[in-house]
Amino acid sequence: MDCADCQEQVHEYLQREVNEDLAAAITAHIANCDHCEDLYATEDQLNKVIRESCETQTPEQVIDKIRQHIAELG
Amino acid sequence: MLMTPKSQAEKAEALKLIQFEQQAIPLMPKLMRKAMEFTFNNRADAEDLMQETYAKAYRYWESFEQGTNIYGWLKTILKHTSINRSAKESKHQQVGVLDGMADYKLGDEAHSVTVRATKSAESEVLDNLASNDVQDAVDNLKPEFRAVVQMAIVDGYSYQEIADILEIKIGTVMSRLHRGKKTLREVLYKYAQEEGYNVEAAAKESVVREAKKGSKK
Repeated sequence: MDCADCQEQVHEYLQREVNEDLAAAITAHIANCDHCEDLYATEDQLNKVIRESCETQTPEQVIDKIRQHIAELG
Repeated sequence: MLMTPKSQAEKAEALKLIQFEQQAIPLMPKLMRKAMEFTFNNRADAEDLMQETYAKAYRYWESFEQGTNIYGWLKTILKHTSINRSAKESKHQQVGVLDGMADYKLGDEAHSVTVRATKSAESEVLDNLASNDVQDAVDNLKPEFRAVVQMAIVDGYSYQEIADILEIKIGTVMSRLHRGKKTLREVLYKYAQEEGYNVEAAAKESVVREAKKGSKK
């Protein structure tokens, strides 16, 4: 595992789309490489802010409408 | 009646709601029967599942290819939402990749593997952004990128599930996610600079901190 491999896989690692062996190799690399740890931290942080900002993206009025239609189902 | 002028975005949103009501809502009785099947006839669970499914369908609306099979599309979202809901209930028993990483770091601290509590300069910049900025940046992504970012990061779908719902290849899911996130990083970094957050100073500070830590060894 080198930096280029690690950078290529960082998204898949974050999305848990890599197998156990690869995950272990990436974890080991990140633990020993400041540069890749920074990259991982930045991507992880980006995911966090996206999650926090976009979680309730369906407008309240739409949710209300959906709820109302569901309640009307016999 | 006097109409107030609407912005382009408001018009698009209104059109989206009309399409959604005309196409997705009428299929509710049919979807509800599926939802009852998935929840073993528990009405309250089925209603929750329906609500989550339809809220997602609305969010992903732009990614639905008009004119194709909408029932199939909604059913795929319903199915994956149902699977993810039951998975969430038993999630605390699983140890994921990232939890494993935390263990690894703790375990290896004694062997002098670098463990850093500080954040990278760039992630600090991200931390200081307003939630509106992030939402704007996501909204401004191309629809095909936004759908993948939303599904993978916010809703936690697997690549395979996203590929199923959007009817694209897994490789396409990956490349859209990578490109979407790259665009977001660039846009958000620019926002931060415009808002006067001193990116260079943060970077410098982080270098100094690193150097100090290094000298302690």
